[in-house]
Amino acid sequence: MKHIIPLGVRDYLPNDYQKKSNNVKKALHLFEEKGYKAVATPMFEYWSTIEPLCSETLKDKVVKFINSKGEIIALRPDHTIGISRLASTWIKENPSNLKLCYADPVYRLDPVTGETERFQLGVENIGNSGVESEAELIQTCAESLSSLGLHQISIEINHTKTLNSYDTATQNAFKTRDYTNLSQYPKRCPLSDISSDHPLSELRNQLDSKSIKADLYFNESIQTTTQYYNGFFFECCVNGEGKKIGNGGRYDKLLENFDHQVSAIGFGLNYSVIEGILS
Amino acid sequence: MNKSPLTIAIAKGYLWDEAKKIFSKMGVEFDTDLDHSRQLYTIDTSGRYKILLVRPWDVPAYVEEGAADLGIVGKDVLLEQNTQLTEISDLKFGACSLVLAGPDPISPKEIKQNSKVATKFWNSSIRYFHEKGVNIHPIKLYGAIELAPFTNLSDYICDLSVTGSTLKAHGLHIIDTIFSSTARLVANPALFNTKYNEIMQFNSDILKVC
Repeated sequence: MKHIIPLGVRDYLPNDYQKKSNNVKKALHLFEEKGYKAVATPMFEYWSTIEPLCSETLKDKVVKFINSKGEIIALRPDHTIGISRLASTWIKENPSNLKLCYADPVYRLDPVTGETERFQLGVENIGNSGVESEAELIQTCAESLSSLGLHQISIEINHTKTLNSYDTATQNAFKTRDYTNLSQYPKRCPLSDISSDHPLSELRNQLDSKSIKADLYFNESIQTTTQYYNGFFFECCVNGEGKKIGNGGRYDKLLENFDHQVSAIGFGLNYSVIEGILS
Repeated sequence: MNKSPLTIAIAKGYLWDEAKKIFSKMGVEFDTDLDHSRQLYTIDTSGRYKILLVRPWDVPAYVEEGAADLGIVGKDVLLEQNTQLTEISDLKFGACSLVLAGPDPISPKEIKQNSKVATKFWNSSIRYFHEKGVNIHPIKLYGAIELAPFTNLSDYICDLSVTGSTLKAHGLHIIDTIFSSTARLVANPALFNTKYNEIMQFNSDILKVC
């Protein structure tokens, strides 16, 4: 018998494990320095909790199974949903903002490579609504990527208001990344070049006063795989690399699904891609 | 500072034949004649473009994994593989259709449940029949699809057709067109971000001559 493992998961041998463990410690240490507290949510949840919050594309990638009671269970496809659920049960005891961070795998099937398990690091800042916290989030994101040893990082930022200003056909084309029938392409420019009436101008002004270890761009081509963002949202890339290394944004509506009206922002880094770039 | 060339994976065969003419119109020249060489890639004389010549079905993998920044590939392949690539432009050349064909000139409504359908386009064919509420028995073939009804391997075929003459030569009639396809310029979504200016410049240049 050949002792193989299912397609889409991997072993970590001692050297790789050590590297990963050191990097995770480094990132969590940085998050904790910024006031985030580490938490963990279960590896699987009820599909009925996750399904309404997944985009159609993500739904197909979620790994599901039926437990002994006949209930449909899903391996967590991202951390934000689980942490929002956790925060909603906890927020009464902590009425002020919750700054939480995590380092655990998520499970979603990549249709090309078959990769299913990917390790993610990230933070969620729940109950803090200001644009200052958005700038702090981007700063933390860039610092954590830099602390892991990445260079030439770009953070590509968009805003749901910008997307919603287009007609439905253009919005759909942007979402599906099919620009073949468009009369104009999605724009990208340095964030510093946006006008003062742009939805991201306040964020740009906040970021101007901070030292950010990444190049910042306004980019209309970036789209989200989840449907809960409702303000700024962003993706992180490394110049010349073909995989995105992280994403994040504002998701004020997400906690309404868990009976709380509270603003929230966060980001997640795909450590499985990052370790590929670092090696 | 010397920039690294834009890497473009191009489908071998008729799309490469057309792409060569388009590069020539753009003033892009190659020292290596890939058609008469064992080499599978080349860089143009200006050093701006690196061409990877790969099988049509492999173009999405090269682009999706970031081994190539861009790809030139048929829409048929993109639809069949349900890729997550950024589709920048319709280059208009390489037109063909995925058609349902069979030995009799019937209408699509006359296709019986559990018919055997031979095809290389497994996903697209199943999707087409399921949308019509017809369950089929698909048979995956990799070439000479027209032979299948003739040998009773299948009742129908779903295959690419440009003029319909090959089908006709094998006594087959087009029953329905599943989709039409042309060559597309596609990009890796992450590289579309970080190489935005170079990619948009290339797109603008190629569209001027397409």
